[in-house]
Amino acid sequence: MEERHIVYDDSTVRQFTWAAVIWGIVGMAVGAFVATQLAWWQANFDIPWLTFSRLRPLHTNAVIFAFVGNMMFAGIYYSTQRLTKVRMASDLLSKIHFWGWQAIIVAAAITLPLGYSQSKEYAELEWPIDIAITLIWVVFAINFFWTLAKRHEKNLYVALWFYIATIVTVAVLHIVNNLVIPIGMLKSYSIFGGVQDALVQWWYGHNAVAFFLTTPILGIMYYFLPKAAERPVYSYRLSIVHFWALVFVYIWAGPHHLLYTSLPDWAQSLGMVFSLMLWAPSWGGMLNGLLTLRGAWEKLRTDPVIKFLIAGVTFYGMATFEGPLLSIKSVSALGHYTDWIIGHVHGGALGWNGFMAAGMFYWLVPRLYGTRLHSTKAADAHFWMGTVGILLYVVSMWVSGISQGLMWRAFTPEGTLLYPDFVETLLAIRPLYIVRLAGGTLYLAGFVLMGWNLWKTARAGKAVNGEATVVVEERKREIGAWGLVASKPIFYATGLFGLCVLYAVTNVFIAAAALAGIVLVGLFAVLTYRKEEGRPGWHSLLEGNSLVFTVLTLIAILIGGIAEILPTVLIADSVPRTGTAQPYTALELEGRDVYVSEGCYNCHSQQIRPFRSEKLRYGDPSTIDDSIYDRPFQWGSKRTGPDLARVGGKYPNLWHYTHTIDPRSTSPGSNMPNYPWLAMRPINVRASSDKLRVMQKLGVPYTDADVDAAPQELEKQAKEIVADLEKSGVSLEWDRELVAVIAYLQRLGKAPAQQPGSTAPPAVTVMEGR
Amino acid sequence: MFQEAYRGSEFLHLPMFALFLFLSVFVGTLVWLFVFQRHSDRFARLARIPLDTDADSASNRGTKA
Repeated sequence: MEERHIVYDDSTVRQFTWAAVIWGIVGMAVGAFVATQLAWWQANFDIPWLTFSRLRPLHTNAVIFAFVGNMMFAGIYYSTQRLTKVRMASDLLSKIHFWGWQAIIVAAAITLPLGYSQSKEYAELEWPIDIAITLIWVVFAINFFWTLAKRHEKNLYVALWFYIATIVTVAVLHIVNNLVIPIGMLKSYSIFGGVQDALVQWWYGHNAVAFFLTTPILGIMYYFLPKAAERPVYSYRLSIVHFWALVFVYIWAGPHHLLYTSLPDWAQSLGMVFSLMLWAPSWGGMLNGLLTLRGAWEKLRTDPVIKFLIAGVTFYGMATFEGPLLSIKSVSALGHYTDWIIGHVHGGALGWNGFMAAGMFYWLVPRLYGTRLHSTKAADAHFWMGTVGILLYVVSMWVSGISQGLMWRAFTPEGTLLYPDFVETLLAIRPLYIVRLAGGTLYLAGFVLMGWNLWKTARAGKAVNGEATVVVEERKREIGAWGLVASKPIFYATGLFGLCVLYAVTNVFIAAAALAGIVLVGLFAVLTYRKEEGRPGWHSLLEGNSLVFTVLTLIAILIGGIAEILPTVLIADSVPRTGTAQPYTALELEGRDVYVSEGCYNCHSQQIRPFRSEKLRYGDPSTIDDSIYDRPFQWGSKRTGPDLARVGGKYPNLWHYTHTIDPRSTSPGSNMPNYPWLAMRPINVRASSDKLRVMQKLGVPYTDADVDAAPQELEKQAKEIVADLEKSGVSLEWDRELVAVIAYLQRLGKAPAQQPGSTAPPAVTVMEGR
Repeated sequence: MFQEAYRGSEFLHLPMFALFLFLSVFVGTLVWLFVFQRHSDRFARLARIPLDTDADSASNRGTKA
């Protein structure tokens, strides 16, 4: 045995920590700014890059990837070195990771306000930045797994499992959801269309929450909470169940974002069932965290670190209770598209992520600078400012969301809509938008106070790198990777699984035989279970083999992804279509690109649910055909404004022109910003052929003649719209963005002419009473 | 090509397969942990890894960066 002195690389931890604090302030400040615009529409000052629809993606990306991302990297770099008893494998890779990630954030902060967006929530960044993210993620993964390979601790502690799950799953999600064909340096079209794009996007979107905002923070919880409480985690056994159940179940839950849409029913039900199943592992993990403090609850009164960590875990419990609740179809019918979802998300983001970050920083920074926290009182003040801020935010959004949902579905005794004008619902919730702004600002002020406290702490000490002397045992390879895979537990599990499949999908006789087989194999497995004295068990060996562990984790998440997405993407029969869809004209496609670029999807959905209230307000429920050529899809997730799926032909061109320049002239009380710049900015007419050609490659049925004639057809259609506007005294050049947007909006939901001999679209059942 | 390969296949059973796999793993893990491993003291040692790995939580030991 050999003793080895290790000096950890805490410089990288310090860099990520400060980056998290700074980007956290920036991201939350942008959030407060866009919240101001919801209450006072004038707050964008008619400046395009300060407008809500462009800045809201910046807010979400900044808090997710810049704030939580940097915070998570700080936690991972600090704890991984201690848990593996080795310095990070490569200082160079750590530096590339840090500076590369910051460069990506800066690129996002420039491109999103300028309107370069893929319009997929939390995946808005365009393809060159997506490639940069992939490369930097690979650098991080190499550094992390290389460190695991060099480790001096045989067993991988549970926190490291959560980090492994994060690294492999985020890689898969990011690559699949960002598969696009570029049509320029900062513009691309998704390879998925309509319902398929929606499913892939929300598989990604939900699992960005799961594997970027949850699993790494759970790893941080399993490391920093025991450290702060100075006692081991309550139940290591429970943490094993927590981990495997979470990685198996989380990946399935994405379709709960698409309930009552035109996504096939089987996928919706699957999303709902797995979301409900998430209650168990989530609460298991929460209780494991809370009970870690058993016997030391008095620390909750005195230690700000414990206050933040325990409150963070409690908010995790609340958010993971509310999430499955909102995934129940009847609850989703009320809550979806409303501010209830915004309240739910911020309960998790501010409570779970924000408080866990604060707890970790208050514990970490004094140690990174070899000193004590500058002010415990300031940390306590931060805690209460944060808590009151969250409560104001979340409660106001609950009230707002439920009010919206109830007003949208309210009927008069005669059976008509009680609030037929969408703006009525908006005016009713405006005071709650102001309360939300107050809550968010209070939370931000507390966060700034933390930044000051940490800065003073750092100034009082000097940057130090942690060190330890470890006893290095020669690691005997008890079993190779293949031996681990070709072992009894895998053999029996595979056999049992195969029999279960037979039982489920075959006729009654084979099912009976399979059931008998399940019992026999199970009994045989139990009877033959022998563990030699002193020999480690299978899972113990697995915990010592990071490669096999990573592969099994990858398989666990791939099963969910493949089983859910593959049928919708690859099997034509699983996506019923009527065959009546027609592709957009060149001008409509240009208008659609402007719609995407301006971020209209942030406030307007394009998906009418099969409820009587929605049919009366917006028109017939959406079908798969309505958006089959939409790359990317524009179903949206929030209705700050009305749904636009069938707005085509509802108003004259003049109405759209006037409404875009000054929304209040047609909709008094609206909080939509003015978009005067759309009437000034020209479209690139010559690029229209290239766009149609890419769409053609993606399967949209354009002929070569359509592609070649795109600029001429575009001009012809644009001039018709301009001529129509001129009849009302409006003068507009034909090649302006606003003309294209009007063409696109006038197309939405307009049923194409019925072809002779084609079958009529099937009627969609509308649910009475909603 | 892929669409042709999968057309008419039974891949819509995939979710069912995966659900069974999940339940098998979940039940298997519970049985293994709380039946076969109920007397194991290995988990107590593993749970202490964060507390044993260095002395920084107690003494802020370190070298200047």
